[in-house]
Amino acid sequence: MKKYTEKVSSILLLLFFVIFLSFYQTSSKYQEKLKAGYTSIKGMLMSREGKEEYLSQLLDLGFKENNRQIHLDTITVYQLAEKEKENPRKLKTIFAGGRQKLVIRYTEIGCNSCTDSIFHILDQYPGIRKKYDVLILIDFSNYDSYLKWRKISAPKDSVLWLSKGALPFSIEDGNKSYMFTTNSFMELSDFFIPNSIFPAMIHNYLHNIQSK
Amino acid sequence: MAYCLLMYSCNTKSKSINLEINNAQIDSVHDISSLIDNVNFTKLQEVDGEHIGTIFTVRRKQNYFLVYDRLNVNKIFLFNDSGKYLKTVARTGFGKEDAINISDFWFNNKGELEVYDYGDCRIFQYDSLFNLVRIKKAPVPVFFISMHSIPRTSNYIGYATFNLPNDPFNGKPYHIAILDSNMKIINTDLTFGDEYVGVPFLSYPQHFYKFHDTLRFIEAYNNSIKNVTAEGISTGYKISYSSASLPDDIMPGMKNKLYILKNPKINPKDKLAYLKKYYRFAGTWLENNKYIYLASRDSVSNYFLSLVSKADDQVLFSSKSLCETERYKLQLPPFLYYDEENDEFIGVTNGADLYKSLYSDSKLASTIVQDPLVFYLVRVKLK
Repeated sequence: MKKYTEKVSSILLLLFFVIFLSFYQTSSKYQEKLKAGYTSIKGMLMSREGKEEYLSQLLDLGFKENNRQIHLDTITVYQLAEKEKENPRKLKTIFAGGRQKLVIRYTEIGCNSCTDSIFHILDQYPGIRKKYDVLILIDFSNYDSYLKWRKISAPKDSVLWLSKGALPFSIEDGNKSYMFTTNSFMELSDFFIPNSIFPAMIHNYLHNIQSK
Repeated sequence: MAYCLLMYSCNTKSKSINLEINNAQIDSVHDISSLIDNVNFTKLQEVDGEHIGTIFTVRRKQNYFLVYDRLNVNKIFLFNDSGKYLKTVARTGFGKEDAINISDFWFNNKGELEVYDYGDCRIFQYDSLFNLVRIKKAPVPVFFISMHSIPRTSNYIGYATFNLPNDPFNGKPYHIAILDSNMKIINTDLTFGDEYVGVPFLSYPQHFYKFHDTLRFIEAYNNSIKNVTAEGISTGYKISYSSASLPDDIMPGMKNKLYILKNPKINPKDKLAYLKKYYRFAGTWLENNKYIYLASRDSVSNYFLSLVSKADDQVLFSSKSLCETERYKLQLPPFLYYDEENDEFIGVTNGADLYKSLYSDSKLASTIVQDPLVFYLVRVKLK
């Protein structure tokens, strides 16, 4: 009798547990947790996808542009002043001879905050300015916008104006700023798209070109 | 929950107050010298490393100025009453206390600052000294162009355009959501059909303007202003123009043009071009106990403003700009914000433009720094 009672109690307990578990699983709180968990996983996946897309862009840029022979004979750069562009010079004369150049092609169109961090991170690599002349090529269409950019980014290096689309690179007409190096033989390499969302990549890039 | 739902039902039975603007009488410049009590100028003293690029909006609380640059650096700066920089209250970045994308901020019922991070569906809460004390995150991602706390409640209201990535609520896409203190949606309003989802739409720097215990809710291409209170949403004001006034309901017209509106190859500026031939409210609504200052666009999208007397709900005048010619002698910048604590309308300009706005006999000329990168807050107190 005692054993029978114990068995019935165990079965009832098990039944009660199963019913409770079913109820809990279908309760709204559990559903919310599932939904939140799904959202979190979805967010992580999207973040991964974003990084993958960025890395693909970098690889694509490198494949297309690194070590390519290009002609800069017709490209003229200027100093930007309030009323007009001044002091025209051929880009070729700036690149040719002398030290290596690290060029930051800063485009007004697109995500400025994605690129602005490069100007501050660059200061953390003093070896770069010892090895390279840093040149910033801007394409601002409006002098006031240029002044605001100068105020916020406080660039320490030479800034010259070059019209958008003037450089013969696949990325030139897009909405991303980019960087590259050039040596005295005008061999261009180390093409890179800085993105503030991935600061580690910027550090990686600057460390590598500093170490070359 | 049921009480909250009952509270936030849209009451359309109340009548709106009609404000009729005469299109035929829009001045080029209107002299408001007789209406002005005084004008004060606060030069903002920025510091290196924390520069402002463009002032998007301004708020004032306890004689502090909060300046928001959304376009260049996406930060909210704190200045004291004299315009001296104190600190950067909110910034975007990748730190634990950084927002992903600041898109709105307000003062809640306790008078404390709250900042909405669109990028991560969070609200940053600050204490009375503008120190960050709490970050709360929506349990389910919800994205809004603009948010505000609802006066005398612990709830929030959010506004979404047609193309934000929000799941429908109870099966219906919505423009307005009421959220509880934990950022969970408890009700929605201004729902729309699935066919409109994804349509790009104009948004303003602000969609909620607080006046005492009421929020005025405004939308692009909508001449009606709704009231949001603890009791719910109700009709408020309706702006009409003597000719070529924007239709009351633009949705039927949009429905006929969905193939254009949703076409990614068409420039967003061109998609709603067919509405730009109408006179329409342009999104700025500032009011004190006596006046309403509102902005409109004409049939070629030129901007003009109107001043309304609340005593009789009559439009006193409309003009492309305002000036003061007796004491200060200058053209005033458009107002961006109404400071309820000090009863001042605040406009923003830079030193170069402020100097150019002075009339030749203005005594202010010697006091203005003629630098386009120096910002001035022009604070106007009306009689």
